Amino acid sequence: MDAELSDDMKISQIAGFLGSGKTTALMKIVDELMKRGHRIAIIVNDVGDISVDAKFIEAHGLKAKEISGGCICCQIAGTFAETIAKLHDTFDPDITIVEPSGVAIPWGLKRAAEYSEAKTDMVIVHAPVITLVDATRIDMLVRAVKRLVETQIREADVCFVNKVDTASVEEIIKTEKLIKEMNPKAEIAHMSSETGEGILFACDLIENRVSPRYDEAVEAELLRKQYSGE
Amino acid sequence: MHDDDHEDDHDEHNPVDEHSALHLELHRAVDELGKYAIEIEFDPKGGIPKEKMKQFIDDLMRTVTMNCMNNGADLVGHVKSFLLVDDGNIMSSIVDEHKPTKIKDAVESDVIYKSKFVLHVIVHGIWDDKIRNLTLEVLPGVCKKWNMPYNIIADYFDVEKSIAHHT
Repeated sequence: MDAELSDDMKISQIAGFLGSGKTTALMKIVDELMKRGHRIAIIVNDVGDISVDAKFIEAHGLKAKEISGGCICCQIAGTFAETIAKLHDTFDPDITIVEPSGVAIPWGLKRAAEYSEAKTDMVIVHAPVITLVDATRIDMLVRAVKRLVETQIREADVCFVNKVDTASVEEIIKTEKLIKEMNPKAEIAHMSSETGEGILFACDLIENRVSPRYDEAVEAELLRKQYSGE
Repeated sequence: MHDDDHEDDHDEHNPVDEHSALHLELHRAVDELGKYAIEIEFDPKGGIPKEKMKQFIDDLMRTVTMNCMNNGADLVGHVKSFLLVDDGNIMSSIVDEHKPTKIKDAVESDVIYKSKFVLHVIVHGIWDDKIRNLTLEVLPGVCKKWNMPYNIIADYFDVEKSIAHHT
């Protein structure tokens, strides 16, 4: 093992349903963190065999590691862990930003990331789980994919009400209320991936705060609450 | 940053197998999204003005999206595309069929010749095979309307795994 490699790697996941603005936010967050002097790696999981999101990111002038063929929080958790270990051994980023698929579950992704510790000499540190919630179509999301949206909100440390530049005040209030009901402990902030509002705060969170490691008991409790409707 | 090699999607030693099925159970519960991806080469004879190309992309994406929504889908997950030419790209995205297509133009020249186009359709309520049929059903008509010769380079239906189809 190269003695100069760092002992830990911070994993930051930008979660959220499909179309919630993850890729646009990620690009702005990475730009800002690089300005602050961080060595950043990007992992994109677009679940299909072809990643349009990775093409978006590369068109922005950044390089992204694509992981395809399934969801990294479970189906291909092993591939994800291998990728993180390899990144540590070859590129040694201090922060790895992960854009999971729009159906990934944050605690599952934490667990998958921690598998990498068995593959190289490194400790995973989690940045706060950030979940983006699209305020402009909150009604549609709750109607069609409530369980997934609820899981992503329940397992977040910080929820960003996204697209506040185009959402109505009513939509923003409704989204905030929904987040509070689903996850009273979550911090709530506003974001516009397009205008950049909220990006600096997201970077501060990633830089300065940590989130607990994976705990099966905690995940079981979160899921129990969800199934029981508490 | 390091290279961007595509990871092999075969995952023979997936440690998730060793864990509780609780997590997967929830994933299955939300497994109601279908998707389809296709890569197409466009080769307009003598080129096409960039603005017209953007209108064509908008029309194609919107027609595919609406064909899905009119035939069983009840939510747009994300319909997105990426057009690659020698001097740039055009990225397009629809997340709500009632709102305009978001198009980001990063092509320098005013005329587009041969290009490669990736379209990724993810919607809720219908499955992959139906999305594929609905996409391929409207593709010839839209291309004909815009006098756009096309050639399907790759159809990802057979090789893609579904979004959250855990077995």
